[in-house]
Amino acid sequence: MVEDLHKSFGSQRVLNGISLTVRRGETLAVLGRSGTGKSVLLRLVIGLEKPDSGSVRIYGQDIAGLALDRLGEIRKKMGFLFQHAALYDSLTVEQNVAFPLQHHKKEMSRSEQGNRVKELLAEVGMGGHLEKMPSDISGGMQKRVGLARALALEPEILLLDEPTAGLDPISAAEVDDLVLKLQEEHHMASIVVTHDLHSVKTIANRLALLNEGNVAIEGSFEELQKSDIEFVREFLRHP
Amino acid sequence: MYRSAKSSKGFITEFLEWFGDLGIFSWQVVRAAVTPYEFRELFLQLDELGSKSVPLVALAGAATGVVLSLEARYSLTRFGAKSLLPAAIAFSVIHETGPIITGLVVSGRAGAGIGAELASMKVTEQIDAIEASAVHPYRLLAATRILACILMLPLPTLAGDACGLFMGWVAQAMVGPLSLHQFISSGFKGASFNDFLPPTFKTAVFGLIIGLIACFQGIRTQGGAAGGRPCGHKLSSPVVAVRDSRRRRASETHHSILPLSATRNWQNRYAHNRSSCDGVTPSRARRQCASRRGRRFAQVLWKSKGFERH
Repeated sequence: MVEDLHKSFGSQRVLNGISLTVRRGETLAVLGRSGTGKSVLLRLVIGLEKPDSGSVRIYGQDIAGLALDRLGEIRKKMGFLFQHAALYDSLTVEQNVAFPLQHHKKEMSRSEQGNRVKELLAEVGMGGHLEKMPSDISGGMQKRVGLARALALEPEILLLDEPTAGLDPISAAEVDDLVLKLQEEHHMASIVVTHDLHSVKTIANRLALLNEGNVAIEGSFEELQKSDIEFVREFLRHP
Repeated sequence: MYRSAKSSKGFITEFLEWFGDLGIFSWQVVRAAVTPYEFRELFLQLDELGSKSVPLVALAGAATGVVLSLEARYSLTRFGAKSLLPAAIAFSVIHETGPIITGLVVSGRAGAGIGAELASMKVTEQIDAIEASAVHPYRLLAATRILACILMLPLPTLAGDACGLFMGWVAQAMVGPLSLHQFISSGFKGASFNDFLPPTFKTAVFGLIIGLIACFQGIRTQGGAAGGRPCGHKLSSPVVAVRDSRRRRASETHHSILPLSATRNWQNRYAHNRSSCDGVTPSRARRQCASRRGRRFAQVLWKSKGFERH
């Protein structure tokens, strides 16, 4: 839950008192024009940025005031897919996905970790690319590997920053199906930042449309379609 | 005038900010480095920084040994102190040249490498991804690299020293008959471990400086890959810091750089001897001593005197 969140970078005010809530098993899609602070919102939620004011509450705890170790414990329950995947370029695809397991699942044996990695990569359709380096695969494939890495610790909260951007329609539909499947199986709370209205219709229970650092409207896709707000109508008219 | 005052104020503020940030960074790394330790990454970095720097340092050490040997031979022969040549080479390589060459080469190779690697990770959000995976990036990336620099720098120093001495002997052996045994026994006559351990292990301090500044500059990088400013800082800062630290340390020990008064003392003695033996006027002899070679000769004599005292 984020409440009255403000964030500025220098003189540029990005978020201006945003309040949103996501419950378990729910997928919230955050929409908005480029540069309206959607990615910043996700970074604030996972604690990579600190808010100027307001609070980010996860399991009732305000993460802004938490020590790094305690924040780490909460982060273990969160999976984050970066906009450009942010794969470790010196590690292979397999090692990238194994990274969180090696650090936080030390009770698992090497072979168990290996099997889990293969399972995750197969789930995102990257089972045949274990030994490849991130530079050897396409942007869409990198994104799928990033998604597998985000799912490695079986998170309860999933943050996806433009998961289908740069993917072909078939791969984008596959990622959407995967997110839906995970939501059904694990009842994760997900926040998806996207511009892809087609994807939003498939995966999101609720939508929040940002405009000038604030939530212009929040509701289901149908509710947004019925809105009289000029910005909302214009946004939906240009998918 | 106003503009110039404003720009110098900005420079001073930026400089102080840099030091403040470095202090905060160091404290955060120390806090992060306690436990649990990232041994796998540490061993990787030990290999990367230590063993892979050895060939380059050895090459630089060998080249320095040859140059030093040939230059010193010319000067010492001229002043009739050729027998001091092995000692002069051994002491100057082990005390100063070896450690400083190692520091400069490692800061150029490994320091810039660390800085560039971390900067690239920063701008491509890989460091954020590490943090988002609930792994402390300072513990994983900075602490391991800094510790690896501290632990490994003495190793290439030894390799650089060995190559410098060996090539110093080779250069001598090519000019005149001198066996390796003679060279070593004459060069290390009366020397103890205490003469060699501090200069070798002071490179651990160079390692701390190189690792700390390289990691700091890399992690604080902003913007894109062009990043001329951070890259320039990254390359130059450890080099400058190593050079300055060496200067400070050198001035503390009379073995390393001769105090000015001592140099003058030996110059005066030499001038007196030349004027009495060769009939050269004292002022002319003093002028000759004031030359570069004269100073160097005085330094070698001083070193040999200090050496005999031990």
